[in-house]
Amino acid sequence: MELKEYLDRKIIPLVRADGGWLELKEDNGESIVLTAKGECSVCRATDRCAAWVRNRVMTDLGRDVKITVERDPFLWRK
Amino acid sequence: MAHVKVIRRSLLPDEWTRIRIGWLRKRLISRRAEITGWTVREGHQTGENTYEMYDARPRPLKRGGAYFTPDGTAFLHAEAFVPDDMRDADELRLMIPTAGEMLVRVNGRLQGGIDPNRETMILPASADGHYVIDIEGYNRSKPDDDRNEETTRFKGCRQIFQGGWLVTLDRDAAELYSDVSLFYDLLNGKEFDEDYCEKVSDRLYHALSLIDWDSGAGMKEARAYIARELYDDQLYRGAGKVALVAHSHLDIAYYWRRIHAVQKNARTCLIQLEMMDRVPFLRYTHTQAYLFETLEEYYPELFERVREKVKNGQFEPVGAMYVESDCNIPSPESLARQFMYGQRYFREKFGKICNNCWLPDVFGTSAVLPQILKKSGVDYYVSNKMSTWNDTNRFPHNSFIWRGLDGTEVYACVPPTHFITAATPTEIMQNWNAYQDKDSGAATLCMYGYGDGGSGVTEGMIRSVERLGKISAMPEIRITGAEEYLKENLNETKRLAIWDGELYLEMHRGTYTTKADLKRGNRQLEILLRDAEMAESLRWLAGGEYRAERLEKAWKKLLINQFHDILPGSHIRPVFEDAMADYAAIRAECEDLLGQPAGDALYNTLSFERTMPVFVPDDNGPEKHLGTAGRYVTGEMHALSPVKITEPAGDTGWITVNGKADGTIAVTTSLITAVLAPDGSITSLKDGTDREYVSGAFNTLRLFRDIPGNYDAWDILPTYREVTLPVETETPLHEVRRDGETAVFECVLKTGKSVFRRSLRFFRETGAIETEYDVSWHEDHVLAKAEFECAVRAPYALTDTGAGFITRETNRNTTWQQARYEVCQHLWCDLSETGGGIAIINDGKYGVGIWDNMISLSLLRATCRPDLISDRGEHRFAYLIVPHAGSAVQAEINRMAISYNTPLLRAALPAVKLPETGTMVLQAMKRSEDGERLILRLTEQDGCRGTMRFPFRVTVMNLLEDEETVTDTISYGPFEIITVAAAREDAVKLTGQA
Repeated sequence: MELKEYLDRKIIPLVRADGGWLELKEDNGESIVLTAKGECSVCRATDRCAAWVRNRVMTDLGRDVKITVERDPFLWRK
Repeated sequence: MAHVKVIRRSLLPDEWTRIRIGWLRKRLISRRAEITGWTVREGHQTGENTYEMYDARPRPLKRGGAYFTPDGTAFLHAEAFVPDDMRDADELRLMIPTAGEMLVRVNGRLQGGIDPNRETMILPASADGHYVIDIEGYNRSKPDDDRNEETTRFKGCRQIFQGGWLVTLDRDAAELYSDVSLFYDLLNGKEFDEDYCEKVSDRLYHALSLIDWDSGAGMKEARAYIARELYDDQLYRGAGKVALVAHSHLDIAYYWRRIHAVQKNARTCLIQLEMMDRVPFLRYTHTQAYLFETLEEYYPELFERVREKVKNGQFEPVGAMYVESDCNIPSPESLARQFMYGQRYFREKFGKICNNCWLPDVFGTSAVLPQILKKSGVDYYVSNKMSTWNDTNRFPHNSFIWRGLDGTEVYACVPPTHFITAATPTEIMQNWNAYQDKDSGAATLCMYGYGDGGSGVTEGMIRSVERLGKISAMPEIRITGAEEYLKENLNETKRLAIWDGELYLEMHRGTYTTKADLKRGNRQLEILLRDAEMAESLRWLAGGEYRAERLEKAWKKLLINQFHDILPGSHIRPVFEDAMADYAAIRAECEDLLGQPAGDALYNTLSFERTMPVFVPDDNGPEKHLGTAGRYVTGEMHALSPVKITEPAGDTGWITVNGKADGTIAVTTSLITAVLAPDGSITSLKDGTDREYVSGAFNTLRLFRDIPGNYDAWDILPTYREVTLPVETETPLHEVRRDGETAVFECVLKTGKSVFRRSLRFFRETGAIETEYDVSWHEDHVLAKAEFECAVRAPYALTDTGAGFITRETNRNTTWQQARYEVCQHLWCDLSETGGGIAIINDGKYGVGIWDNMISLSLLRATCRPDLISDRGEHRFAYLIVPHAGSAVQAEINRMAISYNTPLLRAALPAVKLPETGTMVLQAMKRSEDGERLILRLTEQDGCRGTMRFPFRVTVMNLLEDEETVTDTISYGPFEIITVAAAREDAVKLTGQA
């Protein structure tokens, strides 16, 4: 399975079910950039979350990707 | 002389008090022993009680390690051995600081709950000092993890494990802490007399000075001092009467999916049950029969404990409803079913029904509800929202009589404070000070206990409640239950004002429109369920089976999704996806119950003759309606009868169409003439008398910038009309087809992101004009409306409630009218003067603004919180523009609207000959719950009186299907809902098959 499909099917729905929102912005092979929107944009635990995503990708896809999270806050918080 | 302001750099006394209260808090735990050897197994909940596990086996979990996952459930396990130096403790506790929600089993028994509001729970006595601890934890306790500043440090989808501990409480410290916290709250709340606060400040300072903070000595002395100086003080006397009722508001879906409500509910009930065993005076209220059902199914041991506490009066089911539903959008029949299923459940399981409707958080309530309440055994209505959330006008009552649309009256309570309080002196005083009906003689109601995500009352609240009565400056406090409070305080001995009409919430006006697919789906399924029940009933009368259990399940699934944070659209994305999946399941079930269509047989399930063209799906049909191929048909469509279609004449001479040089199109039928603009607006609309109905922009699509902020999905601000966004006509209006029944014109409008395909459909048989939309909607923070400036001078508009209409003033004289810039309707709204007017009939649009001569129909929103992509995507919907002579009642707008929304049924069913129904409309036909009789529910919807005479005796019932009277003659009044039951052998006569 491709990384984008994996994230869309396996990871992002879980984040959304927790009230959050993540999108894959870039896939540079060894590293990816996730955009944290919605409640994720103000979360203090994105590092821990990113570490978990990295672990899941490694476990399920065998890819070790460094994850950077960029925040895109709600309009009224910009 | 120049004055130099002195800046005090040393601590103020109250600051020093605050610091020492913090030191006291740190002394609450007297002894602690870390529990090591934790293991965790992570997973994800997939159903009410099913999980998909990430880990095949548990892994070790150490303090400082990460646990929980997004939307995750973690199963923790440890064995705790009480160290020797704690063996003498008379009470041991488990402590786990967490931002999650934990359901804890100890030695196999469900023992308690831990969450951001309570980091400790009491352990049972153990002879051998050995505990096996198993925890099911859900990772987020939103919003409680936001409310607790301490847990925000480690909250999130992935948390840091703070460790688990065996601890003992320092009783003296705990009791003193409760004393000082209570008075410190009182001091800072600004609700009490200034002199009294000075005294409290002085005494608290001194009490805390009696403690040696190194050794901890002096706690008892400090307590004694406070008792003497503050509790025993009688100089400062409070006034008033406040009733405290423990409660936990539990949203079955919101920032979590509905499946998680099962565990939230179990944890809430368990925490309250454990507390009740230790606190005999605790009386706790809990709503929603659905939640009791899930407890019964998934946690039967807890359910049995609940039953015991219901018997002894400590655990009080309240609310009467299946779920705490929205009360704006569900049809009156849906509301009736909420009470029917709710009350029948409470009666079956607990031996009695609830006398109250308990809706702390509902976003306003339709005027149809009082009658539904009364006919469901409910005499009292309770909701906090209007007193704490109205954004313009202060709702003028807290204890009052609520009169509904048909004149039914119930007692009503709108407590002055929020439904989530901690029973602190400040909150209670605020409640009493804000209470507007002091003169009535009724005490005010203050609910206490954490909620939204459940959890309820804490030990801290209990300690507060225990002490309140000792403070002379407080009002008189009564700890009571809901039914007792309501009966004692809302009765004929009290001087209560009357509020006549809907309970409109001046906030959350966006929820009439957010999540268009839910609104439309809910309406369609309400109609489909009605038809499925009718078909099933007629087959049963003919000797067939009545599949009651399947219908009940389908109804309950719909009712669940009418919860006040589901149907209004105020939820995260997965809640919407779950609801749409439920809708698909309900639809499939109804279609299966209805069975395969019998050839071309069509049936009119309405209790009145249809007089306007009806769209019938047909793959070979000549035109499309909302993407479905079919045809418009007319013919003999008598009430509750098979339909005989009249073949269309094919003659297209009924309409003339002339394109003009300015790009407009003039359309003339035998009934109306219209001039259509290239964007689909109507610049002129006249009837056969040459009366003009248009006075400006009419049938015009307008887009407004819509940015409410944090309450994005909930609110439309009063300033929404400040910024309009451009809409371009990409393809001007042009004729696309014409036949003997209809003629259709289409145009395409667009913005930079969205495309609107608009069709205007004219009919041979009616002067109504249908506007159909096929929208590709990709805006952000935009509100789309269709607006109609009517050539009508009307001081009142009418809006449908689903069981009659209400009048709404069109002026904006006062803040009361100004606040109602967006209101809720059901199938139609109407603006008419004596000679005629305009009605707009919709197929699923509930939000509308009506002022002066304007009807502003809300079509779509594009909000971003909590669901970033709410409503984005493809939408199909339509509405009818109906110019008419006379009033809406004279023009039979309501019947037209019901016909428009109710498809003909593809089924071969027998005709039903009801007695003359007058202005009553058949709302439901079903078999009775006892399986013996045919139920007919009729509503008077035109505001008239009349009489129905049956050819045999029928039983008049309430909405719970309890018998009331037996008669063959029913007299009905304006907007009355009547339920009658006919014996099967009599009902069969109505079908002519006896």
